Amino acid sequence: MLKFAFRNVLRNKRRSLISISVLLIGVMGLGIFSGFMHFSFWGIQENIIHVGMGTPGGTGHFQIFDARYLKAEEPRFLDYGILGWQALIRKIESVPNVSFATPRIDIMGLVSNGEKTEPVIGFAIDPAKEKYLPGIFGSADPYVKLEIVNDGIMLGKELAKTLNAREAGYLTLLSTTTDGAMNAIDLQFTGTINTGTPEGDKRFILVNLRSAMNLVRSDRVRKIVVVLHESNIKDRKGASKELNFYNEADMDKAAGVLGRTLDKGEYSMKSWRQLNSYYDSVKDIYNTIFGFIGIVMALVVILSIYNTMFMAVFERTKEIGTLMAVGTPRRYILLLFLLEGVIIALIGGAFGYGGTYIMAKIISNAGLTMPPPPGGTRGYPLVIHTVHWWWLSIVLFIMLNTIVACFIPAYRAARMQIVKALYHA
Amino acid sequence: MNIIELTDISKSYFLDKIKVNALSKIKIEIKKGEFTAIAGPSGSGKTSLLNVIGLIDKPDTGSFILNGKDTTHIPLNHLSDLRRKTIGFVFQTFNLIPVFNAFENVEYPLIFTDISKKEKKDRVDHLLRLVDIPELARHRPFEMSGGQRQRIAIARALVNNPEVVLADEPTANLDSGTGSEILEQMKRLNKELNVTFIFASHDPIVLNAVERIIYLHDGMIEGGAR
Repeated sequence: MLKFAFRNVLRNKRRSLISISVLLIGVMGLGIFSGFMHFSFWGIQENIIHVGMGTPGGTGHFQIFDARYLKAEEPRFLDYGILGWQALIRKIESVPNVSFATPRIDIMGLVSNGEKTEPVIGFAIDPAKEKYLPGIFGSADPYVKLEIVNDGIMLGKELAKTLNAREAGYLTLLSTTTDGAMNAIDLQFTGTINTGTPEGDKRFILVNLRSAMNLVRSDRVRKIVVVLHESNIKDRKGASKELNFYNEADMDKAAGVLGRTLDKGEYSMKSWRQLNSYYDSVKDIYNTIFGFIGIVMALVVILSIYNTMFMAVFERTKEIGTLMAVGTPRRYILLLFLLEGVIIALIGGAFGYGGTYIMAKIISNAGLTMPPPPGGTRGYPLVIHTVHWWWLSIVLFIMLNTIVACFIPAYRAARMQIVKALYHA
Repeated sequence: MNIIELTDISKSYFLDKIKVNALSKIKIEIKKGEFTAIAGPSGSGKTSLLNVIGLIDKPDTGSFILNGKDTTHIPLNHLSDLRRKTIGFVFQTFNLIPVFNAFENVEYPLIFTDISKKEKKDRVDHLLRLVDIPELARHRPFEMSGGQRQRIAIARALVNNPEVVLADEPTANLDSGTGSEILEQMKRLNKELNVTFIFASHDPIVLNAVERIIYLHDGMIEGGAR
């Protein structure tokens, strides 16, 4: 039957070629889009974790807070900050999957050059550790400069322009202390930060943790940013080994191990995903678009294959009558036409898979750049990830549609009246 | 022994809502090994009768006993096994499968049997020799003449060792010389294999070659045997 079906596929080469091309385009269209989706998810995740997306500053993989801070309003600034954070960091860093943990204080206040004052937000950080966070996703320069200059301050690039900040010049940072009083310190301008968002560039600052503690008069930190060791947690299915794309199970496992090392009830932990809802919003949008494109592709495939098989049945009506007259069971006729559809689907799927792989490599190596996302100021390279599991699922989805499309013509062929089929003009 | 017993067979069709009586009260008995033709003008019911005998169409009324088995109440969908084992078909337009070569065309009805591959090959080779075209075994139908194609069709009709071969206008698409050769060959096979041949034809070549002619007119039997 396989030989018969294969020869029938080759019988009308042009029509089969068109059907195979439709499948190829369907698989490639969905495959390339899914590769771009995967790249986008990965890019957003890694940007949120390492650089910051929507808001400046990477979230790390987890953040640890004093449990009270997430439950109730603080009476005064840093009342629910973490005391004894150095010991806690040592404890967290002893967890095998943790690369490092670093403290942060959120800063809100005013920066003045003596003539002009601007409201600002930002972080007080330990630059010696924080410099390892951006990795390949952003520049470590701001942290390195802060590490060198203990009383340094980095400004968003637009903020620096507004304040006419000059390197090595001094600016005054004003904020409230934990007692609620106003305090000010002079800090040396050490450079600008490109936050990736216009709003961040106008308002964001980075200062050393020690400077901030002097300013707010506290030994507490707001949170501890935990960064996992990139090479320890990878997608174990191998879908994206080189990408460090954490799946939810890996994150849950890491969270479990980390959670057990923390004193119960004293601290609370939030993952990068809980800290930034942007990822889930984008994922929902992409999944909806992908679903819509998938439905459109499925309809195109079904209609195209249905037309091909319907024409094949129509043209071979007399032959079907002959086959049945010489004793061919009806189920054989049904299976024959379904098998022809499967052969077309297999060829289209295989070429589609290969075509997707080649096209993904070509696009990824073409040096194309995507425009900045809404609210962003930085474009990003267009890369199509190789996601074999997704592509295989797409091929199976398209093949399933092909078989569905073949069924009605095949069923009609199998139900033909022999006499009518034999004398079909 | 009667291989075919038709009793009061009637069959009607609707053509544009007009009822056409294709067969009316047909009563025929055909013995094993007969070389018979059903003759009559166009529209007389020859092909309809052949279709009923070939188990590819059911009569409206009447009974049909084929090789001792009453087929009257067996639904058409359940007759494919009996048809394959008992009846071989030869068509006016040869009806070979274009994607198969001669060997594969002859072999095709055997794929639904459980005989060995070697026996299949032996049987097909033997039949291709019987119809005098063993050298065309690997040729596709489009590479053959009409006469050669009809010989392949005859070999295909015989491959399951049927009791009856039904041939619907087998010479209509052949020139008279080739038609006569084909008829001679069928007659030889009829004698050698003791297979019953029934033709539907109004070709004088066929009618002169057969031993018995059943005349049909407006779906009714008009004359007796010659």
